[in-house]
Amino acid sequence: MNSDDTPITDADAAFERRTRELLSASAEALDGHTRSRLTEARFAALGELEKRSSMPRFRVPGRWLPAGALAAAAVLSLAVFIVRPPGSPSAQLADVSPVEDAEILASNDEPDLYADDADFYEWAESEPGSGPG
Amino acid sequence: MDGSVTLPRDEYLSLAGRSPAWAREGCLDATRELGEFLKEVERRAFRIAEIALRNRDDALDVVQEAMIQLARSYADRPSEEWRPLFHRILQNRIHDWQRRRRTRSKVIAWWTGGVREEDDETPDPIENAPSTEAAPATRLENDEAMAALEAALRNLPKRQHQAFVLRNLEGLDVAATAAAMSCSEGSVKTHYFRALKALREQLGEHWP
Repeated sequence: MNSDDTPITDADAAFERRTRELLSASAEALDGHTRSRLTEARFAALGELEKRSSMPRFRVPGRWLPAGALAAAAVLSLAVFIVRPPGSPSAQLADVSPVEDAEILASNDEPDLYADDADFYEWAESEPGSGPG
Repeated sequence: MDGSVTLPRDEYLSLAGRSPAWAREGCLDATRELGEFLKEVERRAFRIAEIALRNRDDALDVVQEAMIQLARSYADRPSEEWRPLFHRILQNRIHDWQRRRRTRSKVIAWWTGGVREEDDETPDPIENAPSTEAAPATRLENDEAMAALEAALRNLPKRQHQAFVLRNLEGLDVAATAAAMSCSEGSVKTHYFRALKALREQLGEHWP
């Protein structure tokens, strides 16, 4: 019986048998060139398999990706904290923004750099051997 | 107990000592097994592709692509699954190939002002000339019967054609055919039965 509820008759069965024989015979009777091309194709496929198995395999299941990303971010933050704890000199220096530097350099105001240490510069000038001569 | 499986010491040492070779051997086994499977199916796969595409070189390309795809993507699957997987890949490739060919024909027809390009479709008269050597009567009869069967198969709708060749040429059962065609077993039975009736009708009572 089949899905159409029509029985396969003896004649149908004989027809099936004959088609099977013919198709199998045609597959067995391939010429040498075709058989050789099929062998080449098979070796190409097996070559792919060997290439794949020789490569290192590292696969992270998809569901672990977010957890892995979070863990990596946490480790990175910790590393930065250990290398540069808040309040350390390097951290304070780093707190000066490059934007502020640019603003000071671009400013048209008279620099009052010397005014703060005028006494020191006068003393340095008066000291013997301090000049270029 | 930490829940881990403890191997007997001798067995552990034996496995640990030979692990690289062991792994390599496992890979070789898999390659050998896949090689045997491909060798077993390659000729029938080629005939399935050739009947559908009517071109030997295209059929060889399609079979090679299907083999490579199986090795790349499904070699790790249990070997019992290879046959339906391989035929599913093969059918998809055949379908892609036919679609590309139709598109190319349309473009060429448009480009040449409606003159149909038939280079792929026209049989080579020399290649198809009857052999001059005296063929045995049965061989001749088989060749003629096969040619008529192929022509009738090409007239079938695609799904009927697939169901018929997968069941009769590849010898897949209904479940494996359904897996290869990505449809239900009921659909396979329907397509197969309709194909059988249509082929018998086309070929007539006296075939072969």
